[in-house]
Amino acid sequence: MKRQPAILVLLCATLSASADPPAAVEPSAEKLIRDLTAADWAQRQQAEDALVLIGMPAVSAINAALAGSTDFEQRDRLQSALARIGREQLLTATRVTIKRRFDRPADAFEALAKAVGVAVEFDGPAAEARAREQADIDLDLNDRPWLESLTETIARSNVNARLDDGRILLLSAPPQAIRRPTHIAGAVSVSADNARRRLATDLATGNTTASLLVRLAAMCEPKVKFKHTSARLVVHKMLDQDGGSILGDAQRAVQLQRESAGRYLCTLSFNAAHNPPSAISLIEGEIVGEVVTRITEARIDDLAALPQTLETPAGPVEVVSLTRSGRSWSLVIQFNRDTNLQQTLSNDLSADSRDGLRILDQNGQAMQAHLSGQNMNQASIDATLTITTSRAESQPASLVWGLASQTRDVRIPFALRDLPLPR
Amino acid sequence: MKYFAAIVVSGLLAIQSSRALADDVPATQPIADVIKPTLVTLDLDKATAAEAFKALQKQSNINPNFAPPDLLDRSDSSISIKVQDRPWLEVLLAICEQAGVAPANYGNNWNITQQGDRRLNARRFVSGPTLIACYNISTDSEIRYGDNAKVNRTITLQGILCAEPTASISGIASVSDIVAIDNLGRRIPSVASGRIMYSSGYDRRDFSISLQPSDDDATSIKSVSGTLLASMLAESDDLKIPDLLRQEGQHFKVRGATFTVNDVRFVGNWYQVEIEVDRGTLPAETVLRLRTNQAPFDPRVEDQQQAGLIRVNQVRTRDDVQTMTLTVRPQNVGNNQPGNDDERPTVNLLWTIPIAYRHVEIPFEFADFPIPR
Repeated sequence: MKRQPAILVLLCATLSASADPPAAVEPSAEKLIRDLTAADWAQRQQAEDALVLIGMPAVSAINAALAGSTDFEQRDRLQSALARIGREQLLTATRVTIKRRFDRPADAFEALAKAVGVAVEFDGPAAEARAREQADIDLDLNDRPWLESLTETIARSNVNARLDDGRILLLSAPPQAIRRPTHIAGAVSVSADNARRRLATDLATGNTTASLLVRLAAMCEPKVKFKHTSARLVVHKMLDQDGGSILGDAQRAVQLQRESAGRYLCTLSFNAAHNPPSAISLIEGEIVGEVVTRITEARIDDLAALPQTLETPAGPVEVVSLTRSGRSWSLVIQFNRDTNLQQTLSNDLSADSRDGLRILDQNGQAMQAHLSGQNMNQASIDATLTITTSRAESQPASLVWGLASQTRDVRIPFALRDLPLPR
Repeated sequence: MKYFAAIVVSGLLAIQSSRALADDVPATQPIADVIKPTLVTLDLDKATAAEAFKALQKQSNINPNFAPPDLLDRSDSSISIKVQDRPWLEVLLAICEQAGVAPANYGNNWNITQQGDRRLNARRFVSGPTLIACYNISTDSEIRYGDNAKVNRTITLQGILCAEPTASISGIASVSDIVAIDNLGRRIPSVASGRIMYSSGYDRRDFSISLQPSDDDATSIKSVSGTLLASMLAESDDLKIPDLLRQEGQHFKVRGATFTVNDVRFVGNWYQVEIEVDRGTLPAETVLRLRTNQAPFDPRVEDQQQAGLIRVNQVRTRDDVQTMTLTVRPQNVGNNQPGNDDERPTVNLLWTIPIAYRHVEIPFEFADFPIPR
């Protein structure tokens, strides 16, 4: 199978600019800010683009100008430049340089985690034992995107890992398929997981249908969190081995499902009854969604003393009662119908992330919870959450509701090439 | 009070639909008592569909819903059937087939409609009070991209579990001990068997059986056998609330538990009824399990004209007291029904309160599945 080199399409200019000392940039930024009021439209537009290219070092000058500017268009362009810089900064790959030999896999992953400021944890004692075994791991990463570096570290250490709620979780099972066809687009990578050819016979009618299903995965650096259910994968072009289009009746926009925090999956399906292709030579598309840039947390740290009121940015939530039955608990909460809490409650519970509703035990460990019932009253909604645990000593102690209070729209283009298909 | 004998079965059952096994597979005989199905004896010659269903209802005391209500009046089918002591499900399916209608079940509610649930028209295995239907077989050839990319082939059978209204299955059932033989006489390893979330309100009674053939030269599966593991209702009490929608503030008792109708409200074209349960001497487990929204716990509405639909929507628990909200949707109620006492339809509530369950094992077998190629 051929592998296509990853193509970084985003924001190289920002990266190179970010290496410049701010003092050298500041006069230039101020000149460009003045140019935003130039008589010539093209000059104003070029000034805005140039500010975006400068990136983060220009932000303080822009903010200062915004505070004093009364020119409508200048203010508009300053705000636009700020938004564009933020978006690009958010989606720029964190680059890693590690040239070292490590004695244990855990040490190599810890060095990598340090580059993005996340923790390394072990998925149980077996995973820890495997990661702490003596080994000779030679990492030679020179200014490589962080996600690519993670894949490389997994390959070189033969220890599997995944991103999980803002941490690197080391697993006990060895890695199975490391080098998938992948496109690293800044802080997000898109890879092909698997492809299936499915023949199904309806035993009631005897009809057989054929379909092809291609599963794609998106992995994000911890700084990129999509707001629940907002992320979609949009396909613009899909070509077979001869360069012919095979989009046909295939879905062109598929919602990305969160598998774990930082990893999203989607499946493209299309009819393969006639002349099924033997390979996909190109899938071109983009990931579209809202990335959370600010999370506001509300919490109750003593669930033993109920009722209590949880003040969230979306409105107050009455935490009414907590009752136990064996190893499960029922937590009843109540909130006004005119908040948007009801729309997000199910997603928040399944989020497994900081921007969601979490029930923590007395050791701060997240407990499994799901929405088991809702009662719509005229003005309020009663919701019952069922909380379960496999640990006998574990019991609900805290409730933390993180709500995305600021988001940014993003579009991340990708291209995957040369995927063989099963016959 | 009802008691059902729930006995573990150790052999194959012979009670099966004529379509369950192909002719070349020898029929098997029961070797032990099983959970007793509702048995029906009918001898009808050129009866109308309405007469046939009426005879079935009279024999079984089970009342399926017909949608639309005049469904049988529209049928000009002639029904001829002669059966003696056969399971209700088997007879129901036979009458439906002749009448050109089809059943669909939601937990303990059976609806008869023009289309029905088409999955039940596939391969069927009726065993005592249960029905297992296999409705789909698929093959998946999969490439997992990466260093170890190779093609894996999996055969998946999808099935659905149903039961008579009187034989309530509780919560999670499963299929296990799968033995699959291909047309070349080789055993196909079974890599998984499905857990069945038996639930009345939602269509989640599906299960799947995954087989992983080592070769792809087999063209069909000669047989697939296994065991259905389930927990079935063995003891229950009935709560009867006549004219439910006019009982606000009234109390009803079952085994020391008090059921109070707190509130009846008209919302859209349905009613919301809040019932508070003080469990009293009723086993705590029984009351707590009401909250799972699953089949045995669904109350049934008996309307004098026709049955409506009802569902437990919400349960809250504080100490020994549970508050449940039921959604009651009587038929022929319009969107603009004001819901005052005079205009409320008469809805009688018959609620089977589960007291005890027993574990059962029911073997099943299917034959001759084509492998899609």
